[in-house]
Amino acid sequence: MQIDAQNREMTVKLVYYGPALSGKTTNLQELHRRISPAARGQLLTLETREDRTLFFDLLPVFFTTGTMKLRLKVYTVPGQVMHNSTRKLVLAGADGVAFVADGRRTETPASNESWANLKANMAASGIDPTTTPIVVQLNKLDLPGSRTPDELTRIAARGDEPIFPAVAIRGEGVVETFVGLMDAVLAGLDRRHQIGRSHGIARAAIMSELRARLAAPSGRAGR
Amino acid sequence: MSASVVDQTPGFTDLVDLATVRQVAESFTVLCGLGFQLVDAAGNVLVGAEAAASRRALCRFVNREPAGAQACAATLAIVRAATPEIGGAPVTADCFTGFRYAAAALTHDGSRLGTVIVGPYLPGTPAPRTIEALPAALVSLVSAPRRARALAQLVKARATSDERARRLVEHARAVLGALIHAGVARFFTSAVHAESVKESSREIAEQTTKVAALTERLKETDRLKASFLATMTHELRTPLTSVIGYSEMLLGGLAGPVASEQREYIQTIMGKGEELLGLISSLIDTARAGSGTLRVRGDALDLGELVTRALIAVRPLADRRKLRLTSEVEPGLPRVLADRDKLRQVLLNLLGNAVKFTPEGGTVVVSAQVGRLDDRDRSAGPFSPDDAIRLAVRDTGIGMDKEHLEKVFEPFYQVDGTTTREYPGAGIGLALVRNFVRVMGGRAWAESTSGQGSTFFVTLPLSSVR
Repeated sequence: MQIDAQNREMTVKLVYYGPALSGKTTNLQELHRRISPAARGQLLTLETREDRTLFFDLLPVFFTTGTMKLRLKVYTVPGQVMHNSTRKLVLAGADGVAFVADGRRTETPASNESWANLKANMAASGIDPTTTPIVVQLNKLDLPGSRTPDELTRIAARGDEPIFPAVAIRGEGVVETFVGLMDAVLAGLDRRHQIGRSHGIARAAIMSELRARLAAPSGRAGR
Repeated sequence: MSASVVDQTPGFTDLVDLATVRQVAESFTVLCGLGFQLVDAAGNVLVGAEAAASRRALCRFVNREPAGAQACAATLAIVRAATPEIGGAPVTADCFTGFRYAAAALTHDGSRLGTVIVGPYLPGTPAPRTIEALPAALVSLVSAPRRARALAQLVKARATSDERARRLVEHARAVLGALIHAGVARFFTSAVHAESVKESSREIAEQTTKVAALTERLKETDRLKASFLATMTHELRTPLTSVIGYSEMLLGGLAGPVASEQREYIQTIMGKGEELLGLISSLIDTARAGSGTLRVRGDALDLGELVTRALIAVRPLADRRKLRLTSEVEPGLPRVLADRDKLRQVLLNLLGNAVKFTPEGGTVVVSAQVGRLDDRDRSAGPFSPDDAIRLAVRDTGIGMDKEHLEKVFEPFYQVDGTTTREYPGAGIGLALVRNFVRVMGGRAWAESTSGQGSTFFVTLPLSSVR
């Protein structure tokens, strides 16, 4: 988090982490569709020919609440195992992480491996896992062999991280995950840096502004 | 937020190649006949392209007047300092000549990068037709006799509607926006790539240091092993030699007459002592082969003689087991250069192995050939069959399954790994065969059918033994 007190600007970095092909880029694409064009830049995607994220995706989001300008930098990391050094680079300085896992039972080992990798890279990057919020999205729940709602409840009960069910390709659960992460990040920043008291940044006002900019999606038939 | 390469905010010149923007600007100017300027957020001109001379005749005329030039510069400064609303519609700014500029904010991720300016253009119609209709500011800057000329220049200028000017500046902004987006992708790709390479180099350096430390430890272990071997050779062999030597002396009657039963016991002590000495020597050789310290000598050998001597050595054992022991050594084999001791040991180990695993009444055949070898030997190494010698020991023993064919050459491997196995042995004979053959540049392998017998082959390159 950076605060430019002179220009009244706050920059927050959010990172979408998770195993390869779990739907991180799809989340960003859906957010790009949902956020009003005046409040976001172009979605920057650095991908290979096979449409796999090579380096990262970046969706810049910006809006003003009161007199404070908010900048959100929303990144995805490359999920493929070989790109660990890029994952470390992207993760450095993250204020919050959305962990996107494939909700099918067969993908559990990949999710666990990526989760361990996230924790290792957080430690390597000096990100305190006890103060940096992580939310978990279980994606692709429309596919056969996915976790049932009961299983999701059990998974949620096991850990501290909130769990968001999603079918990102249909836009389901994407906004909920994003809003959930942002709310957790602001709550954490307020606890640690008293951004409300010292900078007059009201969490409720920011969340209300953010929700206002997350309109119904455009550009997809039948939605 | 700690600084990561992905969090950098690239500057204007990091994002766009100004030479490319210049080309775009010139093309734009040719296409629509209007000037183009790109200024940064501080109002500095980064790229400027002027319309054709005929289109800016009035500007040139005005700039020839000292006061006119000053006024023109002041106007341009105001236009360049304009800050159109981020993400908002283009704005227009008037020039004292009656011309006008259209300007739009150029942004990236909600931040102002600069301004795109199109113009000057003569807005609307009709253009002034009389001197009286000229803008007052222009009239005041031009001396009376030259006003008619000014009017003539103004009339020549082509009118452009505000709407068209706005559309043109929007177009210019969109083109630059696309260039900037491509520039951002390029900037981050190269930045992340460079950083990844740096990280990889760091990891490689770290690994190299670890490998160097490990290598040093291995070298130290090797030194300790060599020293251990030297010590053990001495410490184990010396007392054993005494055991064997004193047994010999007892047998020779040096300590007085020996009763027949005593003689038998002493012979057993001597025999077992020699067996143990052989085992110790084999273990030491195995260890040496593993550490790559085995030396190979070159002796001129008669293969036939070597085979015959080996057969003599194992015949007593074969006779006890009522085995038929024969040799099929090709007559007239050339003398070859090989390490006599090692080749003899190879033959003895193979024969001993065959005798051990062949039940009573069976057959063990040893053969030696030069040249005329089949395709199996082609896989032996970079030598052709005609350049090789092959020794084979065939038996009618218990044989083994395919899964054991390679493993029997590993040190201490037993096909029957139980403690109550029928056939004794330390499991180093065949490992030694393979190691000796390997240091002589050849290959050892086995073929077998469980219950029907085995054949062990040894191929040696003639190039190294001739």
